[in-house]
Amino acid sequence: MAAFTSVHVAPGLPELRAPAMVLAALEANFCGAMPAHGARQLVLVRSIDGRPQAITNELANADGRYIVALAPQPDVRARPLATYLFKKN
Amino acid sequence: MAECKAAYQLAHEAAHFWLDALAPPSPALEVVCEAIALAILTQVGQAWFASTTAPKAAAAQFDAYRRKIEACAAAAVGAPWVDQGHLVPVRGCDVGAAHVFAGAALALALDEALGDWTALLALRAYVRHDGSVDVAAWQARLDGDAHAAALGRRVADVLSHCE
Repeated sequence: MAAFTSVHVAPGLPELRAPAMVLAALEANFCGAMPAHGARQLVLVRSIDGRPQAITNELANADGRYIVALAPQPDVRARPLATYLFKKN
Repeated sequence: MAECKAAYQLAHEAAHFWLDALAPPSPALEVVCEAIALAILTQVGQAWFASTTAPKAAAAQFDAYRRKIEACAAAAVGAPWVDQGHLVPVRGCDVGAAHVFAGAALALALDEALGDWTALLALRAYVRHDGSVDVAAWQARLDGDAHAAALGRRVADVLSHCE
């Protein structure tokens, strides 16, 4: 069984095909092994776009359902397109 | 191209997630995740080309994006180009570029690993609390598997240049 079951893109973000292909490629190279911590869904959101990483982590931790993989940071040269949240099972 | 940027950023973060999302950042983990992200860009380009719904003309942009990132990193660290035998110490004023440069060298080994990176997942067990990796212990575990050991030697070689 594939490690990831779905990729959700929140309203307001461009329709991207690449995220699903990235996860599929990772799964293939890791021979279907589960990622550490077992999350199997990726959620791309813009709702917390622009918030520093610490605040984003705090929000995700308070929610309890997500692990933040990447959130916008104030000083990075290539700003993230979205905040990537891995949803816990 | 937004798809290329999304693929690159997500692949890097997803690699962290696959290895250990809660481990603190460290040069070793950054380099490994960067290598995975760059290698994934090429593979996503191939998947894009094979897709029946994606515009084929855009497929080559993923590999071109990877080459652009590698070239920028090489220029930033003062190296002529990225190859497996040319490494620079990962230290100095532009640490991010040095991580990318070292990752690019490692990505060449991942390109040749025939789609089996499972040896990298064994790193999970050797990530210390500070994010550093006990590479020697990890390599010892891989010794019984020639394919994994070859990748392990390459990773160890690259990470030996990281601080």
